Amino acid sequence: MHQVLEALAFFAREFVHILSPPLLLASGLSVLAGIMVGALPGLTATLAVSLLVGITYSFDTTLALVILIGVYVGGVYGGSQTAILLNIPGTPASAASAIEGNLLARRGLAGQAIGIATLSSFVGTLFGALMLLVASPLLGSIALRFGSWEFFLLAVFGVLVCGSLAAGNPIKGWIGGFLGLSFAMIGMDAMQAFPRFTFGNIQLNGGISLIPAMIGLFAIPEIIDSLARKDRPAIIHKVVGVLPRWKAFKRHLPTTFRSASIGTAIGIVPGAGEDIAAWVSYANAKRFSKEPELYGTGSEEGLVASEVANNACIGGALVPLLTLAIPGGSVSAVILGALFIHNVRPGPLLFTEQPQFFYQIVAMLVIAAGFMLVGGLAAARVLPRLLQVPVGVLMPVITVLCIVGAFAVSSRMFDVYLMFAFGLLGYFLKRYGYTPAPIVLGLILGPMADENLRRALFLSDGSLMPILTRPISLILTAVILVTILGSLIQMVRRPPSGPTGSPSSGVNP
Amino acid sequence: MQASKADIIFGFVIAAVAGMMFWQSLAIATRFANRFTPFYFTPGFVPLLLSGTLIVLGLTLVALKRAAFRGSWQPRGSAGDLLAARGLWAAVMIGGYVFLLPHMHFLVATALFLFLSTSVFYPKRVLVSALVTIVATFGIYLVFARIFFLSLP
Repeated sequence: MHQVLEALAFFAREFVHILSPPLLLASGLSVLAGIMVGALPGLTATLAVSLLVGITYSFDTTLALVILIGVYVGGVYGGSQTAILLNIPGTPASAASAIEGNLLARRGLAGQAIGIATLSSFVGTLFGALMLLVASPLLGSIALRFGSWEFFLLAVFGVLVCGSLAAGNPIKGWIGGFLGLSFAMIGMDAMQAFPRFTFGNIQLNGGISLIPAMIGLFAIPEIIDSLARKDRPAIIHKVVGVLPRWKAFKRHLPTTFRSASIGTAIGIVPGAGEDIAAWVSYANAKRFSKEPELYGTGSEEGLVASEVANNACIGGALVPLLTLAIPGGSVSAVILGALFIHNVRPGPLLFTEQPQFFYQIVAMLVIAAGFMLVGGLAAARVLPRLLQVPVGVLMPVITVLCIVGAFAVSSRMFDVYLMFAFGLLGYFLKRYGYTPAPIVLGLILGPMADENLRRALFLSDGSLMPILTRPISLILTAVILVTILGSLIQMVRRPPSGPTGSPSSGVNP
Repeated sequence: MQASKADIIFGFVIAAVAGMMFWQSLAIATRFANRFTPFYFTPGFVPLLLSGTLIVLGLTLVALKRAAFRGSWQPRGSAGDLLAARGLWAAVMIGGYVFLLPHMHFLVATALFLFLSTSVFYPKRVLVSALVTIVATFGIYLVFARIFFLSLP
């Protein structure tokens, strides 16, 4: 009880700190920007956050994170507006919302659907923030017992799980993950200062820069894809009466709570992004619904289920990020890169060394949720006009921003070339059913896996026995084996999607 | 199961690249290994494990796709389908812009890129392209170079 009160006191203090006018302004504007980005088909929260990491690197850490979290929250929510109005999910995370939301809009209830989606997203984000507040210190205290073996196994686990879930085919996902780990080996070895795979290029001695690689992998393929497609049709429904009614929301409270729990739990699993949370929650709500026949005809309950879950996923994804330095999804992978750039080292020691930082993140989430509620309802009438901006005009401008973002980190043209190279690689891989999330995760976790495995083997004289004698290692090994076997069995039973088939994509909300 | 030539080719490419990485990692590991530095502590050890795993995964992908094929090549994913024409244009334009930047002032290169790309991908109105070019180029320059004091390429 004492610990809970102490945590609440910490949270209240940091909440007040974030309430300063400049940070509030930054949060409000970034949430609005996120909503716009999320609403525009082809632009995703991952793209926007990776772009902003490069641009905000010179900002104060708190300000930079307020902006990133704001865009993240707004971006995941914003997709629902396009899903409802156009039947085109602005982001993959809102694909499930398009089914019921657009059918409601066709019945003349576009405003009501947007109201429900906004309130559901608000509640989902708050629930995720609450779970982050409660679960992280607990997981952090367990993680304090981690040694080199555990950190190595955790890195392997993250890459394998992300690979299994992110791509339709686990083999392709794992190839992506191990490619990322291999990219992370490029540059000066941290333990013996030996340049690996640099081919004499001194620009590579520092390794592959995370931000250009992330911008390249996430943004460039989206830009090329969007430009390759013809412009979207602009059939937009009239929006009236967006203010949600409490009575209608109260009716869906059990679904809201269930979906929020599903969303948070899925968010914690590395690689399982917002779209998986939305689909699982939607299917679950339908299964337990008293009116399953309404699904597919414009069910408010179905819309609530998917919107609550995809936003609750945000808080969930931040739990492993802050406690173990393992991102839960692609946006949190980008945020992890941002934390490294700002010299914040997430992990078990975060709660003892910089506890204020953790509570600030929770406060940022709560404040961003508030802005999302107000901004989302207010923007409902304006957004349809924004949706008419042609992709052929928007994407070239985004390209310039990507290049500015990649260059800004170290002021090196080499980083821009790197971004372009990773962009082409990402585009090629995307076309053939590979998703960028496992590659980015591998890139981030590579140094952790490398240093910890070598240190662990050195300390045990090359023996692998500690894996079996250390309880947490043993559990992690068992989980890794179950993940591999489970994915393989599932692949054999349910043949994977094809080369250009739709990978889950969920990791790229 | 959908399968394509591209998956098989990609599997082989991964295995081949990983094979080269394996060879180089082995060279690094053997160069560093001595009485005081065990093999598993050398800088080549983890890359060796990773490249070995990639070889196995690449060949597994090839084996799975070949089994799914039953000897028939499908046209999907062929080299001709690699990039749609508009996508190829987009990639070429972005590449051109990236490689033009070190040789031109940011404002000139950006204006050129924006005008050309908006003209190609939104060919309806040249005036709109020109307007977007001017507003976006100077807007980005002012915001990042003058307000945020970021260095631009």
